[in-house]
Amino acid sequence: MSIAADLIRGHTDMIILAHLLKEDSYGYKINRIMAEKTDNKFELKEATLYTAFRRLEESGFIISYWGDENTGARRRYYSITEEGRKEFLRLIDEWENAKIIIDKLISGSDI
Amino acid sequence: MKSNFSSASDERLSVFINNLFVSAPACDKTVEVKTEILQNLTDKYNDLLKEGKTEDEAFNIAVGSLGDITPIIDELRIEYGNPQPSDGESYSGYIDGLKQKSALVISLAIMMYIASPVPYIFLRNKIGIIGTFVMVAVATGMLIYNKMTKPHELIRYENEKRNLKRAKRKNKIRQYKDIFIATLWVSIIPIYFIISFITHAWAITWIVFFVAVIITIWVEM
Repeated sequence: MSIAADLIRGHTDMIILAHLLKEDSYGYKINRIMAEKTDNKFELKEATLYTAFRRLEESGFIISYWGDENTGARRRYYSITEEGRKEFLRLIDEWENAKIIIDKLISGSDI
Repeated sequence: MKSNFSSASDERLSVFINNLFVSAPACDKTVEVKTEILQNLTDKYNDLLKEGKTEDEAFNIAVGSLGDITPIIDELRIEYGNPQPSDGESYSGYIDGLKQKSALVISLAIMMYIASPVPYIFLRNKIGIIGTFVMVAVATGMLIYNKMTKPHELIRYENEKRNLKRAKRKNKIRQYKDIFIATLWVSIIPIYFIISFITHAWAITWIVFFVAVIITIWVEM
């Protein structure tokens, strides 16, 4: 469980970009979908999410805009850019590579 | 009734966020950060209520999901809080520069206080009195300006220094000293004028400022 938590935190950018590939979204919604997908086991801290958004925005991988809800809630939405899509493909590629390497490193050990 | 409750607790989250960001610079960016984080927490809070959590439970879980926001505030401070130290200049050098600037303004103000009777002593007429008043007013203005434009960095630095001193259990004494010095300088101007107008000894009464400086230095040591 702690390995998964560390991996998730270490791949916040990739997870956010994956969400934004499907649709524009905002912090809480990304977290809620994440909780649903993991049977409420994993969630990112608000501060972690926020920091990741800023980092991705500065790198030009996402852009943000303020939503115009009628309910009075003002949400900041995020949208993936073309650069962001390229970055996501690069990250996925790296992730696949990492998985293969880790599997190689731990397989064949005769316990 | 339900909506009444939830708006009261929205208030609670809002107060909580405001308190958290109290040390962030007052700028649009800070407002944006607060709005975004507060909205996410409010969404979470409302969902938790829908799941059947009590208001206190929902509040605690929402606040618990916040994480460490200190880096976010630090970032805001670096970007918007204050004039940036120029490249290559060390932080302590930067702080020293700010302190020197502040010390210069304070010294000039005290010099003006001390020299303020001079116009009256020499002219001995209404213009002299006006000159004296103007000098006192400008000196007071300089002190107030200095206090109000004190850069964030310096206040933070001094607070940190003060916290360090607190840790050494000197806080009570420090507080009394601060109150004493503040009272001394606020009351010194009326005292100066009262003594001067009663005794008419303008040539010598300015010494009260000198005495106040000596007392301040002595108390600070």
